Amino acid sequence: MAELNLSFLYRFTKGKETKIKRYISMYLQQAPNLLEKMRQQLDDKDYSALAITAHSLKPQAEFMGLLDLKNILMKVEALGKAQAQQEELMALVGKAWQLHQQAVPKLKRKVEELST
Amino acid sequence: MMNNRMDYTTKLKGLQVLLVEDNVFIAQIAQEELEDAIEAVSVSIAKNGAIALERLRTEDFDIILMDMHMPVMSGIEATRAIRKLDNGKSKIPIMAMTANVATEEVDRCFAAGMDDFISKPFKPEDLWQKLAALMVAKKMNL
Repeated sequence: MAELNLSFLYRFTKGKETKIKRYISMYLQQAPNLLEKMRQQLDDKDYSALAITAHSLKPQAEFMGLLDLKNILMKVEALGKAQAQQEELMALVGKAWQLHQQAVPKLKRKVEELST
Repeated sequence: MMNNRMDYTTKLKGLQVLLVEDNVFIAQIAQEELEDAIEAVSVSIAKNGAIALERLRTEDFDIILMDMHMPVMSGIEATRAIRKLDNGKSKIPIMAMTANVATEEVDRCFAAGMDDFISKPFKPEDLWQKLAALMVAKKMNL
């Protein structure tokens, strides 16, 4: 299961709830696009682009405290740069999606909590 | 000596920043934090190095915050090109924003002509401190 640790986000925003809510909402809106882009780049065997997209998503995962996702993205980036291991990349991109999807309900719950 | 957030951000009043970042999430957060902390700051966003170079031809900025890994033109390529400009803008301070602070990556930043770097996700206080230091250095070099 994706572990969620929002301590960085709380520190970064100094606990400002409107910002926490907005930044989580931004992640929920934008991360799926990047994950979908990674899947497409993998299908296209465009490993350099895949490495850039994984690199780009890494700080977002860190902002949300999704450190398992961040670690997977680091591996995708490294393998993408090496231009190799399609099967392992497929497994990693699948795992990244899975971790994101596991985190979504938790993040949405947090946004709801902060809205009440 | 500057020793708190207020001192740093006061020094940065009216700063004109070119933020070169393809990641919409990071760009929005950085813009929001800069606008919240620094009075009258202006933040322009370019999605890659090539767009940044175009903006530099017609607009003036005090400092550039530069992502390293972007499609079309990377931060390294853009920095090398900026340092070769002959329109008086080749010495503009450039700070790398990178999610990879491995020694080799930092070395590449400095070798390309960048002045400093900050890791992503960044701590706002670190960013103010580094921006203020670069602006002080810029004034001393004028």
